[in-house]
Amino acid sequence: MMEIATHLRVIIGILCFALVGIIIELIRQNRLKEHYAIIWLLTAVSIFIFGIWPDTLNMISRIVRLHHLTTLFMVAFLFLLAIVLHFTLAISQIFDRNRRLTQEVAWLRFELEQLREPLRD
Amino acid sequence: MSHELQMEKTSSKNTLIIIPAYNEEGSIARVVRNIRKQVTDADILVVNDGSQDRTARKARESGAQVITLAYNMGIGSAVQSGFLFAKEKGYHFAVQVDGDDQHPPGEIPRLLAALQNGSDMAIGSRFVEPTGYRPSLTRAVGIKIFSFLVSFIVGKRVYDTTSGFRAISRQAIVLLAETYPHDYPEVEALITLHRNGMSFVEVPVEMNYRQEGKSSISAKAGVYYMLKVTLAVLVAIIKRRNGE
Repeated sequence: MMEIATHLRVIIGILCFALVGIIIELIRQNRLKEHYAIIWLLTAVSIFIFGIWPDTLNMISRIVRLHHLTTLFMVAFLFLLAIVLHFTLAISQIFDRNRRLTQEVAWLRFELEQLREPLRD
Repeated sequence: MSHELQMEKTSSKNTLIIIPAYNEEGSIARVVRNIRKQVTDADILVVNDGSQDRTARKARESGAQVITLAYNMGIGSAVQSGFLFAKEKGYHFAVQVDGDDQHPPGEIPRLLAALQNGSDMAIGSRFVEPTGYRPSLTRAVGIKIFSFLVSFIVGKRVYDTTSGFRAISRQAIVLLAETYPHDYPEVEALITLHRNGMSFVEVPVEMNYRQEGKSSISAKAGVYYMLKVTLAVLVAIIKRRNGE
């Protein structure tokens, strides 16, 4: 059994609820896409679980045979890695779409100029 | 996607000459005029790659069609815009020529002639026969490495994999309009063609070397160039083919 002081648990709990609150507010204000919010909600939930029931962390520590602090860093690191990979994928997709859009705008503008040309005379 | 939109071609010509240009107001008019003098049965499209100077106006005044990209997208995306244009307008052949006077327009008919034998791309090549081109040592090493890599992958000797002076067939236009790297595209495009069952030939040409402007590849970018293109080539081998 690993013991965490009650006041620490309360702080972690409040932090997690604050994080979830901020995420929901950002979605509500249309500043965060639901698609990307999922990973943040998952983050909040994991922090909550590890914070309130640190034994879950101990369980993982036993499985990977590491000190629980090392396990904590490992889990956090893997999580951040996943988030960064997720963002890179998103950026790549946006890059491709942005590129095609710009190209299409270029020749639509060309077509528009062609259409306007005879009207000018 | 774009293929629902059908565009009308404004001329009856089958060949589109694509000139990507970024801040080339000093040379673009001369390049366009030279091409018009040497190649009469082709339309000329200048892709103004977000220039801050008067490239677009100079090009239009010298008789080229001009499309303008909203921001500087890089040579690959600019050339691809030209391929997209050629695809939508139904051109049978496209020729890519640099906007800085490096590529001799007198050689364009020879490139196009090389496509008549069923090849999908004709590369204006500096190294098939000895020419006046003397690259710096680092560049020469890079050129050799890519030549070796591409030759190995396609199974035949390819000398000039980085030349941007190229003519392509309708089939290649359609393919490259969809799949073309946004920067340093030349080497990777060869692998893309090969992977999609298309062929290319090299046509020896003599080029002019850098009158105005600098190479798009500075010394600092050289390392990135090598890494990016090598990785792209290796990835291109295992990438899925279009439609797979």
